[in-house]
Amino acid sequence: MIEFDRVSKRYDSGRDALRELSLFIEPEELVFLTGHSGAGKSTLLKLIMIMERQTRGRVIVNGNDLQAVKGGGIAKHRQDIGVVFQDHQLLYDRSVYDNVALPLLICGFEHRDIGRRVRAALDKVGLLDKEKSNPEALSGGEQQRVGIARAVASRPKILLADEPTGNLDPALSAEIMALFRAFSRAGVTVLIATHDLALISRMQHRILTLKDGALVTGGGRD
Amino acid sequence: MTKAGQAASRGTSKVSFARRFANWRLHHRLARRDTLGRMGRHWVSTLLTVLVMGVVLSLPAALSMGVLTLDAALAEVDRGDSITVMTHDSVSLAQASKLSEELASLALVESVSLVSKEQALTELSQWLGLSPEVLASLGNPLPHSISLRLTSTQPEALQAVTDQLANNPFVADVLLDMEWLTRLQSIALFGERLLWAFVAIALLACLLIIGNTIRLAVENRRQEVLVTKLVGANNAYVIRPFLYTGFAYGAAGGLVALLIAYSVKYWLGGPIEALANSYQAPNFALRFPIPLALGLLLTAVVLGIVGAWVSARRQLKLIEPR
Repeated sequence: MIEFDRVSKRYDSGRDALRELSLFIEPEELVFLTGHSGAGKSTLLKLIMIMERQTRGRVIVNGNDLQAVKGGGIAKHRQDIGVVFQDHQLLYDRSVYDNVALPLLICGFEHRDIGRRVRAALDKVGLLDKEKSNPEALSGGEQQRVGIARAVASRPKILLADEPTGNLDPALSAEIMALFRAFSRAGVTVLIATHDLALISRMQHRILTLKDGALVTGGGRD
Repeated sequence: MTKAGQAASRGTSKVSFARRFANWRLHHRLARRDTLGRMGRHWVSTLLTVLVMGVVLSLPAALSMGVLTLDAALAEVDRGDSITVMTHDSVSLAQASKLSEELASLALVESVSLVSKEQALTELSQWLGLSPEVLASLGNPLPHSISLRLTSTQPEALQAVTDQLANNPFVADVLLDMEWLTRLQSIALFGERLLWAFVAIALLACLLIIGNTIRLAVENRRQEVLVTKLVGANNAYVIRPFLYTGFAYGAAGGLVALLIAYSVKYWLGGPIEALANSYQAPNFALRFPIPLALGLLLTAVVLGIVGAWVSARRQLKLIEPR
């Protein structure tokens, strides 16, 4: 569950990234977030991750007001959220397996459990045979799928994705989107920021459209 | 529901203490492995950093060796009698002798030597080149005198003994050679302060070198730090490998400094021994005691950890949410 209550964000440079934005995303919902670049998509995701703090308003995630989450609580909060980045953000000094295992290691899963979960996640994205490879040796689409496996390995309640299909061809993009849909059916709240309108308009999910930091469509609890 | 199932459903925030401890140890093991692997892969820059630290730390080590040696030398030189007591004219030799026995029993007094007025007259006549009879015919104006050697050459100790003597009815005057003692103390103090100044400068240099090295390391691994934080690592998890790096740099740098210090000691040992023998002072040698060596090593390690901690903390602050 994600709720924004009249949230504004002004950066130190004076730019208003979000203006009085309110929205509500149910658990187990898959929602797309779209808008031209600079409309505030990334800022919105960053507020949910507590990578940035809002200037005004309230952000509530899984029932917690994020303004009250500080210090070690931020790390705990992030452990409940999986993130997929446009540029993968994989660590190239270790294998695919170790990349996917990183959040599990941090969360403190047991050794056997980690092995099981990593393989389950890699299996879901179809990369079970690549666990020993270095991510650098993989194609862009494969790297993105490693990123997804890492995001879902600890089975978070919320999955965020920032332009997950940004650099992929249409066939791969559709494949990735199908993965996200499968996670949402399995009970995960999924929020995907993308400007690939052609793709998402076919998928019949709620679309939030941002323009200059304000919501144009799709905000309410409809 | 099974016990394991219950534990799993409670999530990661309420795992048992034993589990958390095992996990903490695992994280430490991984951080150590990561640090060693990284240092091995970048062994040239690791070696250079360790050598720079070692050389910088060897400066205070060598200087403290010098000061300790100087202290020992001063102790050898410091053989003069510190206090001379003159008695009144009316005091007999027997009374003076009793007084000297009394003084010998004082806690601060190491030894006494009594010079009677007759002995003093003989010495004076020899010094003047006259026969003692001639001088004696003029009447002996000299008093009996007692020379004291104290166990301490601290001005405070001398003052205490002097005050005690001044109240004695037999004593006419107390002479003490404060001036050269004060000078000696000043030189020793100067050496000590000089040592501390160099130690402070060298330690500061080490702190800056390690801090800067770690800062560069964190900046090089900024992406990794960021990703690790985003998948839920707390600051302790992220900082841990850097602390181990600081520890390793400190320990290795400290060992290099010790190696340099002991090499210097060995190299200078021969000439110093020859010098000591020529002055018949067999106890005089270069000093670099084990506690000093251990202290140096410990300081280097602490500096490494502190430098790494400060630097890594500062870098982490930059990626905190605002």
